[in-house]
Amino acid sequence: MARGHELIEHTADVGMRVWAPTLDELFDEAAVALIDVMGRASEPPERQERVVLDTPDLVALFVDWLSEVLFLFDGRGFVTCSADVRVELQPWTLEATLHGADATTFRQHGPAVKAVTYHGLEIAETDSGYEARVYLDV
Amino acid sequence: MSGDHTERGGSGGRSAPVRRTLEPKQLSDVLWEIPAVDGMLVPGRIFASKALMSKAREDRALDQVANVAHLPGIVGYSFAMPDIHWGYGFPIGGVCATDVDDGGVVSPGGVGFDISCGVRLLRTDVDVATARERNTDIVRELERIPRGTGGKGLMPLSAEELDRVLRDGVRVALEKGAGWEEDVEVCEDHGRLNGADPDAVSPKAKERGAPQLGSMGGGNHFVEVQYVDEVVDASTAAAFGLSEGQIVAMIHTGSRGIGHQVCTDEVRNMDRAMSKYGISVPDRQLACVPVRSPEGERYLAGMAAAANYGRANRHVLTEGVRRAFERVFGSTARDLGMHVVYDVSHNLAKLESYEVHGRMKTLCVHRKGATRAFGPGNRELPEQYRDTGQPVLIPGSMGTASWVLVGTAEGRGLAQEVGWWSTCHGAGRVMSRKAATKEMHGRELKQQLEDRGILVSSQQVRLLAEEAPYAYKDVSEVVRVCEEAGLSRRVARLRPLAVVKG
Repeated sequence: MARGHELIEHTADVGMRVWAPTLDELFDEAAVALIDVMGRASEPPERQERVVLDTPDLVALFVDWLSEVLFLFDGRGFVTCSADVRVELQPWTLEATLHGADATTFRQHGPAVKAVTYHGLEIAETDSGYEARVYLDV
Repeated sequence: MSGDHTERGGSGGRSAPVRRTLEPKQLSDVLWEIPAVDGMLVPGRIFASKALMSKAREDRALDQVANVAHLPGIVGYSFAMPDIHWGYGFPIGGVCATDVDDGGVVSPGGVGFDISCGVRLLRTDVDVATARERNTDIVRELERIPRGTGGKGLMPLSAEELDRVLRDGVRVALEKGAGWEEDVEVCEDHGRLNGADPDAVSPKAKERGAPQLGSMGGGNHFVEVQYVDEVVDASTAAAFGLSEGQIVAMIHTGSRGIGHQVCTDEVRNMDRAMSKYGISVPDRQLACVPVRSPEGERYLAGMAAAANYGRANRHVLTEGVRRAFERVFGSTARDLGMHVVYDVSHNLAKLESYEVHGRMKTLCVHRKGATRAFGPGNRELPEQYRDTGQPVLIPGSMGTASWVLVGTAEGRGLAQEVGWWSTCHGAGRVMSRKAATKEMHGRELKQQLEDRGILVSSQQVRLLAEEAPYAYKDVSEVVRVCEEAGLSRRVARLRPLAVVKG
């Protein structure tokens, strides 16, 4: 199954639907999708960051993960381009190495994302993998 | 757009009841009620005309009014202002008060990610004809103000300076050379919200905030040059220093990354802590804990710190606007009469005292996309506005009108009937950003506005259509309903000349 993402409707903010064959790839795709809402790096990645998370459930893990990607962008000028993610189930943990470009190479093409919300968040197993819906505050 | 009127808490949620709201009952021309059913502790009350209510029905905003009514300790009603629309957790335009000494909760979702997002209005002695001639120069000079994602603001701070801004707000920016002493007085809370504690703000939040002071950010934030196009209440307008044909400048922004991170951190903390207090909510974004709990106190201290940053941010931007006008008109900001009219936020939770059923109570009043609107005589207002009531600043949608309103005395003694002295905060969206950009290209909209004498500067012209007037409710209808409902009164209408978008 291919992986990908698309925007979904919300009156004030932005929603996105993300899909991938495995949970690890779903998290990677979601990080790429979050950055793609705002813009993209014009240069290939040459920086790395590491993220380790420990949460009570899958939804929290997803929100915390995207919040980290956003923090790295807004706080450290790190534009995530891809991530090697390893999700463990029960307890819900995540270890990831993020490959990114510097914010000086960032070309904005969409709204600035302020935060990731729990509102209406769904992660489901499908016939061909996993799918998530998440709303972002812009 | 979802039409099933259900609310799901997410597949991993620990509390995700599917719920359906009943049709709101119309109580008057401008008031509707959702009866308390399905675990709602109080009814919902929506201030809206028939036309505005039909818009509110189009998305999930009414379900969100009902969801807020589940919050422990809620008093009176779960309110929504006429500009209500679908948010996340709380509706935008939602107001909710909880009884602090009776287990009442505080919910970061009831404040939102942009803590103390708000509006500051500056008046000038420049008239509209003079400004029109220099409109291109005005835009060019205002474009020097930092905007968009990330980046550095006009006043980047050291770690020590940031802590001082978080604790003491506007005054610290003043000491560092921005603005005038008199500006502090006409800022809500005199520019400093009590109870702020920099230690309640995470290192991550501080890392986001330190470089950004004095920047607009993105989204619907802007600096707009406007003129007073119609005065509705002449004596109040005079007391606010406003008269027809006069140029004013409106600044709409908030606490930038630091506020967003404080909210993110605290929603996470409360999501984990809620079960300890036996609380479950119908939407995880409504995560909350009792105000009188270590987590609740920590949130309010961190929120107040971010609010102080938000006010200081608008204060520093004020300097950016004054410098721009000085360069264009070749005289000093003082000679140009660039006094601050007022600065008020529309995303905040505050501890306020009210008489409820004959007893004084401390309530935690959440205003999420709603503006505090104190009437005449309130002791928290600056001396100069004590007789008139509080100025309320309402940014309209791009290219339409904005409004100056005033808090009213009509609801005196019945604060809980008028949303705890609250009113609207803007026009309120009706169309998603995606749908709005399908209607028209940003370039076309920019041209249409220019044909009407309104210059728009945006870093992404394509996206301008997201903020097009047709994506919003009619702000004039919103402020009219607020007046009819006794929430606030109209003072003056402002029309734009130049919009510099975040």
